[in-house]
Amino acid sequence: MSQFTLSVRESPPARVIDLTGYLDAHTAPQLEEAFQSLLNEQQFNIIVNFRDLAYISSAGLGVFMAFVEEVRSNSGDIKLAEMSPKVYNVFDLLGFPMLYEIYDDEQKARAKFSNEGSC
Amino acid sequence: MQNDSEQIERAPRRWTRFSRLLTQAVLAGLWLVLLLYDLFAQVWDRPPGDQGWFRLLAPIIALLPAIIRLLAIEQVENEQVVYKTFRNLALAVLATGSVLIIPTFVLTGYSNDLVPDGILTFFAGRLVCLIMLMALPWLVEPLVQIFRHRATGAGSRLPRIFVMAMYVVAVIAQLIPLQGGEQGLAMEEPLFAMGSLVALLGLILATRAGWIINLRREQKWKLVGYAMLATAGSSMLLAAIEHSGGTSAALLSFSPGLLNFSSTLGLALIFTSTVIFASAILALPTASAIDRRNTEVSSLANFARLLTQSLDTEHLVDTAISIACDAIGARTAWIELREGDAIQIRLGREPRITLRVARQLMTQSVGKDLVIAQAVSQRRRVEVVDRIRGIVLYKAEASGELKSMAAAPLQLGEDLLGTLYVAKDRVNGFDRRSVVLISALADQIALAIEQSRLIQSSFVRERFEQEMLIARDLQERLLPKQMPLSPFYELYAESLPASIVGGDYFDVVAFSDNTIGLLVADVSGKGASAALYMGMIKGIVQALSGQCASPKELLAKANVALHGSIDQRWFATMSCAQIIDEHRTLRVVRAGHCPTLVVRSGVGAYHQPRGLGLAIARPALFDSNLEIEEMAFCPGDYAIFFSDGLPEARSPEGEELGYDLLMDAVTAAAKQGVNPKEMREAIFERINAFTQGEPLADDSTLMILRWR
Repeated sequence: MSQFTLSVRESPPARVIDLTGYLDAHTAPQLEEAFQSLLNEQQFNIIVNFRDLAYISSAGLGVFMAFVEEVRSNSGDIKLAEMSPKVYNVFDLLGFPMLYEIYDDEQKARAKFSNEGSC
Repeated sequence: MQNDSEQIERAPRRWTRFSRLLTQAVLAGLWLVLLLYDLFAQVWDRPPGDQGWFRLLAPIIALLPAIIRLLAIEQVENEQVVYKTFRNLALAVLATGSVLIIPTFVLTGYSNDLVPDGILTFFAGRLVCLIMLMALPWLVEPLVQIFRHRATGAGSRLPRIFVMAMYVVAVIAQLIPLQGGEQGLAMEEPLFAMGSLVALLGLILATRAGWIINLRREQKWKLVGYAMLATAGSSMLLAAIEHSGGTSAALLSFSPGLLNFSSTLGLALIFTSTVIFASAILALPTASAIDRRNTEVSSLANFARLLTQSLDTEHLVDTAISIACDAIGARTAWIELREGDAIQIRLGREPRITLRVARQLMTQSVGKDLVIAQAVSQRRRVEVVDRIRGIVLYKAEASGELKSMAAAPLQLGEDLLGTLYVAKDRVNGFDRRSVVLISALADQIALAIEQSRLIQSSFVRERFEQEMLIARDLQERLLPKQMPLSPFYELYAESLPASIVGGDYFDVVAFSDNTIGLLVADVSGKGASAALYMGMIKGIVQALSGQCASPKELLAKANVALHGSIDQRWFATMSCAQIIDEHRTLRVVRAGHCPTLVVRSGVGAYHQPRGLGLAIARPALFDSNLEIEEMAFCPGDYAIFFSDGLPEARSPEGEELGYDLLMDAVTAAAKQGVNPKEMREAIFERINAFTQGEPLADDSTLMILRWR
């Protein structure tokens, strides 16, 4: 099993959370913490990069639901990017594409934030 | 055990007593024989110098048993035994010395050539000799025993050499025939000098007074007293022997060897008592420190024993407090226990401090290092004076009897279990040594607390497991026990939780038009929390189904009930199929759940109508995305609802089974025309082959419908 790691980097106009490994009930609290600290820093443009994420469980999915409303009420968004087909399938089954913007490229997500900003 | 060792010890003691009596009897016999011999000599008026071989050899032979006994004295290990031996010796020396000093001045009847002036003087002189003879074993044996303390190896020979030398010099003194007058006395001086040299050997032996160190403080004080008595006694004894008065004349006329032996012994005694007196005096300043060290060692040993005995944390902590008080010599000690956020202060069984004062003295300590002591109240001020090894030493001012205080974290690895506080009624009461001890005690206490907590938690866990088993039983009862029987289809369903309880379930409901609905659901998360939500959803769905005409309506209403009502993170997925019997049709809706596996005419396909998970989206968004799919079937076709535990079954290498292999298993079995129960067996056969018997990581639920 690959270990779960998480890192946050700045990529204006957004902050990007990079995920690797397994996001499940044990590791979800780390992601929650990361979101919480971004929110505490008043960072509401958030991109989550799934490029190296191998697996996501229902507890991992729950984290996005926990924060999306607060982020959007602060006129920000959580955009998801670069999911593997398997991870995308999990999001897709749940209907998350109806709720979140999912991009195959982080760049596109960033561009979307830039456009929103200029409007 | 104890009885055995007592008996073993008692047997030699009885022998010792017996052999001493025997020795004394031999000496008394000698005395009697020589008394009679000399009486007859007086009667026959033999000259004093004219002594036969018997008269010369008898004392030498009579002393032999005593000497053999001395050579056989066992080595002593225990300092308490040596202490008692010296006490007895001191009393014996004092008694002998006081008694024998008297005739030196009183017994004046001997002439210069040692001829008694009358029968009275003769008998009085012989009485003095008897006293000396009888006292000998009481004086020389304890002395040698003291020398034999822990004498091993080469050192063990020295006491024996001392005894032998004493004897040899005495024999020489005895064998030089008493010439009488000037000549006889001239022979005496070199022999006394030899005796003194032997006594010096005794001095060397007496300096091995290591046993004194380990005595208790009050014993050392007493030892000083005994040594003073022994010094006084042996001085008197030596004075009586060396002074050319009645005593020495009486002894010399009886046996020059005995006089010489007594004089050597007297010297050795005076050396020994002086050395022991000096050693005891010198040991006094360190006496308290050594006492404390001995207490410390026994405290740690006690604590180690306690560790293995006490299971109850509170009992253990109370005992630890008493031990800490004793070991450190503290006025009072208390322990602050932390368990999570809960803090408990325990003052021990006989608290010498009130909870209020303890609280006032304690710091606002947080974390692993105890932070600075704050001025907790105006009356009781504590101030940090030092910090050693994570232990903080405080000066406590104006806090009644307590003048200094130390606080040590009870730490086990990274976990802080609490703090040990120790307070003394002296200013600067803690030296480096006590800090080391406090640290050792704190570690032991931490270990003991952790152990007792582990044991406690295993009790709690056992009870918890019992309750979880009850929960599992209840959850199983929430699942329908019997599947509906129909001429149109056969049904089989089962749900296997990954742990004791799970978040998956299946159900059969009746819609408002009495059509039957099949449900498979998966609540996010696992274990107890998921099981509670599962029970709730089941209740909601059961309550709503009768009012709904279609599965779409049912799920929409369920979403209204669930959305926003629980934790934002929480959601559930569900597939629901309404069975339209006569048309062999299913109306399927999917709320974020796994697709439905359909096998029609032997061909498998996954059907995934659109739909969001329950409790994820607002009703408007949920409803607008919920698609209903009508599926028509022929006899022999299958519809299989399942939860993600099945396709996500993992091989030992971590590979997932996946949807394709699942479908392969199902279509292969479908070709055999198996019934739903057999289909279940075929699926699990495939899964078990893939996982190689590893248990499934997630709850797995399966509902299989086959059209007749």
